[in-house]
Parts: sequence; structure tokens; C-alpha cells
Amino acid sequence: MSRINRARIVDGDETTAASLNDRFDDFSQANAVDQFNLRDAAVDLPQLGTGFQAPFMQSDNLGKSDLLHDAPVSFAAQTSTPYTTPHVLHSGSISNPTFATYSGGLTVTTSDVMRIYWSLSVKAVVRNEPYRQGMQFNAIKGSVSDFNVSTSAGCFVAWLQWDITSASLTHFEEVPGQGDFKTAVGSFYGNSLQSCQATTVIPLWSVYMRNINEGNVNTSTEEATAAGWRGISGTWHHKPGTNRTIYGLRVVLLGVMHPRRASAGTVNTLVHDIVPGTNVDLNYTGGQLVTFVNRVK
Amino acid sequence: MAYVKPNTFSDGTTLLAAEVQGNVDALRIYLHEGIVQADLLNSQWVDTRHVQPPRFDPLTGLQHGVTGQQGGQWSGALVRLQFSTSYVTGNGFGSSAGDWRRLPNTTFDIDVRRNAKILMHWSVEMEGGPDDVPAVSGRTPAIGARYSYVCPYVGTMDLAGRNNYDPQEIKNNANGFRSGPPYGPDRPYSACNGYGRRTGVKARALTAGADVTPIGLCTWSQIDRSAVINWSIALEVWYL
Repeated sequence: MSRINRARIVDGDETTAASLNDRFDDFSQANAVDQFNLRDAAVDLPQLGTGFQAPFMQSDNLGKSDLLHDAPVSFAAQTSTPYTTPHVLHSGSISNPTFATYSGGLTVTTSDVMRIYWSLSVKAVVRNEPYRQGMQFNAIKGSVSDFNVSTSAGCFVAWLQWDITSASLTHFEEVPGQGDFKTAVGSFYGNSLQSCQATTVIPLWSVYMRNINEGNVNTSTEEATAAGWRGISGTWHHKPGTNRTIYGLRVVLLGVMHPRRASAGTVNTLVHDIVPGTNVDLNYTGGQLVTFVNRVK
Repeated sequence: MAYVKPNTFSDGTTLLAAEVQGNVDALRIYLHEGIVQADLLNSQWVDTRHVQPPRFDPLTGLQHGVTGQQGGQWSGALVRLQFSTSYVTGNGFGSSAGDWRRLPNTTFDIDVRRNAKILMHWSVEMEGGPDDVPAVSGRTPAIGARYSYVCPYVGTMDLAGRNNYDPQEIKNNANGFRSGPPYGPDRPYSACNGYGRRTGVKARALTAGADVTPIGLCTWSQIDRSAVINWSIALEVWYL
């Protein structure tokens, strides 16, 4: 018999010491809080506080609102290696960077998961066949002579940086799991793929062959298309080991990149290939960055 | 700590109000913050259905519970193939936001019972064109500069419910059609950027007590035909 199931006192009942004691002793039984005493009474909305499961949400505009691409933001691929600074998204003037700031700092505790979603519209601008430059191609054997074929793997990378130092926002650094693409890979600089956990890859062009005749690529026709306007996006999440206060979070860009490995048997990497850099720009317009914090325990 | 009544009553003694009240006060403290593990029945007796009323709408794919709503829909292969076209959206190059139209089947109507934080996840795969209809000055852009846009919206499709930073583009397959058999597109969609997945996340706060709010995808096309071959949308609605 469940303790809360004891009959109500009604007129005519005799109250004794025993019956009074029993009413209180009901609550001293082990294992007696059960479905009858709690579940069936229902845990419902009024009993639950606000902001418990999703304590924080914020949207920030990135780049420039220019739906029809009338005057997009444009920047050139970096041509020094290792590069000096990545490109920081802005609204048309480098003095107006666009990123997320958190008033007073956003504290993410060990009971939280921080979720980041971002998007951007981009377009590649290419000149002078950059897909034939640097490490952007491979030579394949033809029946008459070798032929250089683009890997079509040239890309820009976009990744996340945050400032966890101060509200002055002068100490942006890579988020956990993300490298800065300045690790030496042979004579190049880049990241192992394992250090690209907050990276989005932006393909730049597509090059393919038409009319290949029985393997004789020399009779073929090369077709090349720079990637047109399209939306890209990225996601990242973080569960801190200790409470973490974040003051700002931004998306930065670097190119031209290409997959590579230092030597056989080593890990795959993305490295900065500066040779085609003077012939490649990246245009962008607008996007959004969403910050969402969930409490998970 | 488990409940121990501070006062035990005995036959033949005076029943004092203070002693009864003392037991009740101790009980109130116990019920609010004193229940310990040993007091609980040692077997599972609460699961999800007990704290989330099992209300599920199979049309929207949404489940409503105590803590919010969740669910999603997708195109289901080709069953719900959708189209975006400049004929519906008014050939609207340079025109106002009024040219945005709902992308059919991709809208949820939700009724929030408490102030809520909402995340709407969406994705589409589209093939744009080929549209090689000659441009009309002041109305349609050049063949190679035509795009179809997809954008999330909440409530309305004007700028109160839609953000011009959110739309994502799909390019026209601007090479047009082959002039001879098999009369298909002249270039592969993949090479012309006519294919590709677009994804995004829309965050928005909603206030309880408002009317049922539509949340979904809208589209604006400069291309005479764009097929949305795959799409998906999912909602997280957090009351707490």
C-alpha cells in the first residue's frame, strides 16, 4: 500500500496516537516514492524553470547583405607562406569585421554543450588557369605525351576562432580541435585533417576532360568552370573540461589550399599552396552565425 | 536525508498543535529537498512518455512534449519533389522581398505553449535550369547570372520573418541544351555548379500566446525551373 494512498480523515473517524503516527511514518519508508506518488501526478511545465535546457541562443550576421551580388566583398588568396593573418569576414570594409560577441562574456560550464552553426554565400574568381599552377595538377600519361590534369581539389578553408581572454577581443585563437594551418608539412604549411575539426572546405573550380579517345588525352578537350555563387556552411560543438568564458567567435578564411601528405605513410593534410594565389580571389556576401548552448546534465 | 518525524505521539498524552505542526513542517522540507535515493522505488517507473505527453503529428513529423517540440520532414526520395521557378516568383530580378514564395511542403505550423528558443535545420539539393531563355532588360538577368535562392523564414516571408543574410544560392546550368540528340543539358550539372547541397540553421525566439507560427523554407528564383530533388527540415523547440 502506497503511503499517499492512505484514506483521508473524515468526520466520525477516531484519531489515536497510532493513526497519527502512521500518517507521518508513511514518509519514512524506503523505496516508497514510486509512480503512484510522483509519476502519475505528472511533472509538467509549471514545475520546470526556464532556461534550464537551452540557456543561451544568439544569431549574428556575417559578411554583407547583398542578395543579388551587386558589390560583394572580395579578397585575394594569401601569397606568403606561412601566411601572416587569415582573412576575417567583414561587411565591405576591413574596419568593420563581422563576428559574434557575447556581452559580458558567455560562460559555458562543464554541464553545457556549445553548438555553433554558420553559413556564407561565396564565389570563386579565377584568372590565368590557376588549376594548372603550383600543386593543383597531376601529369598523366598520354599516348603521345604527358598531359597535365587538374585535381580540382584546390580550395579555400574557413574555420572558427574564439577569444577567451578578454572583452577587448584582441586575442583570437583557434577553437579546440582546430589548427592554424601553420604546421610544417615538408616544405609547405598546413593542418593534418585531425586538426581541421572546425574547418569548412570551399571548392574553387571543376576541371574535366571531354572526348577522351581510348585513353589518348591529347585528343581531348579540357573544360574548366570556376565555382559560382552558392551557400556554404559549417558546424562545431564544444563541451569544455572546465568552465569557459567566451567573448567573441569568428570565421576566418585562407587559400589556396590543396591536399597533401609529407611522405608516404604520413597523415593526410591540407596545405597552403601559394603559387596560384595571385590568380584566385574569393567573393562573399552574407551569412549567419548561430550560437546555442544546451545544458546536458 | 530520509524523513524522520520529529514528534511521536503517545496515547494518554495531550496532543499539542505545535507537535503536529512540527511534523508537518519537517515533512514539507523533506518533500521539497530531502528525498534521497533510498526513498525511491528501486526499479524504473518513469520514462519518456510519462513526462512528454505522446502527441505526435505524422504530417509534420513533430512531437510535442513538456520541454518543447522536436521532429522533422524530408523529401522522401522523389515522392515530394519540389520546384522553384521564376514564373511563380515573378521573374523578380531586382524586385522586392514580396517575390518570395513558400517552398511547398517545407513549412511547419507550430503552436508554442511557452516562450521558446527555436532552431530550424534545413538542407536542399537542387538542379537549376538549364534556362537559356534570352534575358529581358530590367526583368531577368543574363543567362549565366541566374540563381535560385532558398531561405528559411519564421512567421512571414518579408524582412520581419526572413533575413537577407540567410539565403543560399543555386546557379543556373547556363550552358543550355544540346542542339542534337539526346537533347539533354549541354554540360553536366556537377560541372556547372547546378548541383550541390545547401544547408543552414535558423535561430529564432518565439513568444507563447501568439498565433500558430509557420516556420519553413521560401524560395525566389531567377531560373525558369529549378528542381529541389532532396530536402529536409528539422525543428528543435526549447521551452526551457
